[in-house]
This record gives sequence, structure tokens and C-alpha cells, in this order.
Amino acid sequence: MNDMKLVRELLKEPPAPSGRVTAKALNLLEAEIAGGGRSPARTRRAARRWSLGFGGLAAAGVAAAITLALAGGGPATHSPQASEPTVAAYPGSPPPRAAKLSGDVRHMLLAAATIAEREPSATGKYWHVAYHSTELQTVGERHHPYVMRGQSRYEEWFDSDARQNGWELDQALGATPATAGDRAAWQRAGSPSSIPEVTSDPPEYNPRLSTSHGKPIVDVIKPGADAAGRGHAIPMTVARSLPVDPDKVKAVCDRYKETGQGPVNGYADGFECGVNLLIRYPLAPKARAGVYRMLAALPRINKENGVRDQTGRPGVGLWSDLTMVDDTGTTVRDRLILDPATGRPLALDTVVLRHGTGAARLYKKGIVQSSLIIQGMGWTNTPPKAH
Amino acid sequence: MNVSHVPDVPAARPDDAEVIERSWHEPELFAEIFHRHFEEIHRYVTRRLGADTADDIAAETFLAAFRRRTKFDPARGAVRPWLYGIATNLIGLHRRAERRFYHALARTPAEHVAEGHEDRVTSRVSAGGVGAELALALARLSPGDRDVLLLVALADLTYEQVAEALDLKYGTVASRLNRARRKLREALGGVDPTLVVEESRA
Repeated sequence: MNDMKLVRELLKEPPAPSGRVTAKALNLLEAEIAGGGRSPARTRRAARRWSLGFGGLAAAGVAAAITLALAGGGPATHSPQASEPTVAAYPGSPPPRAAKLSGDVRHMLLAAATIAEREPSATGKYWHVAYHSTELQTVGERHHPYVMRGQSRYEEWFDSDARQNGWELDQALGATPATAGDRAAWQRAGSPSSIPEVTSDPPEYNPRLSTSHGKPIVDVIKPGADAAGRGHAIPMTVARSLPVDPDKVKAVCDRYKETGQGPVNGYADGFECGVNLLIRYPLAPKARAGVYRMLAALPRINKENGVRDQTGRPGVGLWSDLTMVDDTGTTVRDRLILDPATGRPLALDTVVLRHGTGAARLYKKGIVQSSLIIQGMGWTNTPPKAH
Repeated sequence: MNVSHVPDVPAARPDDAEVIERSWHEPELFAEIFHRHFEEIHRYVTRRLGADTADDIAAETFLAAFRRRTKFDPARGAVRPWLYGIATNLIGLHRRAERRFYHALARTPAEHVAEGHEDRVTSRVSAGGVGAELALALARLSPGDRDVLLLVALADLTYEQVAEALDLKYGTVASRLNRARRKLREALGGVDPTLVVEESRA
């Protein structure tokens, strides 16, 4: 078996770019050449034209990846823009009033199901999910590493017409020291704004973590490429017609389980799949209830009261006994945080159970290594708009 | 427009580095670099991101290269690895898109992945029935390891050229490549340590 050959076969040599694609790329370059290298103002205009051009293409339904180079923006009609506020309403409003969810895991999840199925059905042109994500990273000198918390904004939009493109937006929001001790270490290092990550490679070759905001990166999500996450590749269309019966939800999970994800027992698998459905997908109220009921039927799901997500919102933590070891040798597990009043998902944490090797020794038991914090999810008729 | 794609045209044709140096003062000469390398760079990006995304990234590679042309240093290496480095860094801005592409590949039953618009269809076969595992393993590699692996596998760069392209030390290229290949082989379930050295090009 020759792995390099297999890679070349898998990522097969594509046909040459069409004349149209080549001509378009050449036109862009010639415009840049005509405008660039002479006056900075003209270069800026060229860059702006470039961005707007791709915004327009995306709007016209032609698949395009867009790197938002423009500051100040322009009227790209339908593609998400840098300055768009991170707002999306959870389906159903006003939020249902509920007593605090109490009792054991099963009762709590069944109560969450009851609340979920009473929510009004919502519709709209676009399904929009918005997250804030955090991830710890060891940085600095190899023998004196410290920990920074990288933050980013991540959003997705999916058209209700599954034949249309969706978009995702990814933007680094700058890293900050993880703890007071880490802040002291960072300050001792001269409060650098760009810090090499510490991995098993020699430090000078590692990527660098920045304390400042990055550009928003927008990519098109092509029709049929919207399935993602947690070992279960469930397409949006399947989620939108998800069965209501908990056993049938589990069957859908089993059907869309990805291969090569390692040995996972059935109930931990069900937990990961259910979590993924709850935090990302447009589910009808009864289907959402069905997911909670599937989770309620799983054995060995644990519950912890009085936890908070990484933005400080109080919640109830749930986890299965599935543990994972990441690249740094750190043992972690997923923890779903639900709103204690409504059962709605607030965040998905990756919690350290055992530190890793090397710099990853700094990942102490109990700390949240990474987190996906739900800012909003819901249907909207307003296309991602320019500002 | 069809100036190039012939690797060894004799004397009259200025080499890449010379073209870039002259383009410092005569910017329009930079179009020659495009004619010589666009197709190759486009193929590379397509293999990592799929055709639609590749169109834009490949175009953007040459814009970025043009803007940085005065930073190109012939003493440090050739133009081809330099362009691959720029393209690879741009791909790095689209990591989620790249992972999604590999996941889509993993789900594609052996015969095809419909790619691109305007009826352009790329046919892909699964690599001997292990395509899904391999595609998922690629998606799981760390971005740095994946960059090195794919520059060697797809762009046919030597370790030294990869080091130039990504601004890494030679030893780092070697260690990243070994780690990436080990992970792929583990994912494929076959472990043959001799493969580690089999394709070394020093």
C-alpha cells in the first residue's frame, strides 16, 4: 500500500480550468496590474472591485468563495458581510415560560421535549445559526509555555430551497490569556500581539496566534454539502423532515454515521448525534422534541447542575461516557449545556479529563478546552445583508 | 495566450525569476507568470477545495503574487514553489471548506463527485475502496501537516521546495510529512513502517 499514491488517486487530477475561468482570472490580474503599483488609492479601488464582483456572483447563484477584502463594504446584495450583527432569533417567540427543569436526566430531557413541541412552527427563507467559539492554545517558549484562549465568530446560512447555496462566515476575534497566571506570563513576555503556538514541532516553525481580530472569511456552502459534524453527516433536507419518533431519530443517526470515526458505542453515538441536531439544524418543533426524547432514552447520560457556559450563562451540563484523546494526548469529553428554564441548548463544551503531554500538560482536569457557544439560531426572511 | 506549459524552451525565453524582477518596473510583464502557471495552480487548488472554490482562490493567488512581487527573492528559490506557498496560505483561510470537501468526498459512493458549474463534471474514483477512510483522515490532519503532505503528493515539490514555499525548516517538513503519512496509514489500517522512507526525496 502506497499512501501517497492513494492520496493522488483520491484527489484526482481535475480537468484544466475552462477558458472562461482562465479569462476571468486574467482579467482580474490585468485590472490589478493596471491599477496597482502606481498609486495606493487605485490599488484600493481595484481590491474593492474584486470583492464586489464576487459578492455579485454569489448573489446570482454562481458558487464562489469570497474572501472579504473590503473595508467599508459595498452593496453586494446577498452575501454576508463583515459588519453584519450576530443576531438570530431562536424559533418561536416569545420564549415559553417554564418552571426550572428538575429531576433526573431523563425527566429533565422529557420536560425539555414537552416545551420544544409546544413552540410555534417557524418558517423563513434562510436558516441562520450563529456561534461564538473559544479554544485554548498553548503558546510561547517551548519550556515555559502558557495558555491563550483564541476566540472566533462562526455563522452559517442555509437557503430553505436546498438547491441554492448557503454561506458560512468565520472570523478570528483575537486571543486573550486564559487565566490570571497566563496573563502574567504573557506580560512577562512583553505582551506580544503575535505569539508562536507550542506543539510537538520546534517553536519557530509553529503557526502564530494573534491577539487582534482577523478578517471575516466567507465561503459558499454548495447544495448537498451542508452535512457536518460530530461523526454524523446529516443533510439539512433530512433534518427538516426528521421523524418525530425517538427510535426513528436514532435510526437516522445510525444511517448517517460517518465511517472512520473510531469505535463508539451506540448510546454515546446517539448522544453525539442528538447534540449535533440540537445545536445546528432547522428542526420542526415535534422533531426537536423527538431528539430530546431520543436523548432521554439513552442510558448512562450524566447531568451536572450549576454549570456556566464560557460567556457566563447558567445552565445544566449533560454528557455521555464517551471520552476522546486529541492530538496532544489530552483526554476530553463533550458536555452539552442546556438552559435550565427551557431546555434549549446554550453551548457545547469540550472538557479536559486528563492533561496531555508536552505543553498540553497545562490543560488541567476540568477546564474547558474549547467551546461552541450558541448566539442564535432561527429562520429569517432577511438575506444575509451588506452594510 | 498560449505562451507556455512547455518546460524547456531554449534561450530566448526569460526564466520566471527574471520575468518577476523585470515586472518590478514593468508590471504588465507579470501576466507572463500567470500564463505559465495558472493552470497548474488551479489544478492544485481544485484537488484540495473542489472546482468552484478553486476558481477564486487560484485567481486570488496571482493577485497576491503580483502585489508581493518585489518580495520575491530569486536567491531563495524558484517561482513555482513561491506560487504554491501563496496558494497554500490562501487555502488555509478556507479550512472549513477544505474539510467539508473531504467529507463530501468520503460520502461519495465510488463513482463520482459532481464538481463545478456549467456542466463541468469531475469524475473521481475511490482509491481502491479505501477512499472514505482516506478522505476523513485527510480532513482530520492538522492544517500544517496536511499542507506539507499535499505539496509533496500533489504539487510534486521536493522537501526543500516545500520548506521554501511554507517558510519552514527542512527538518520540520520531514517530520510533518512523516506524521501525516503515519496518520493516513493508521486510518487505512495497514501499518508498514518501510513506507515512511519509500518516497523521500531529499
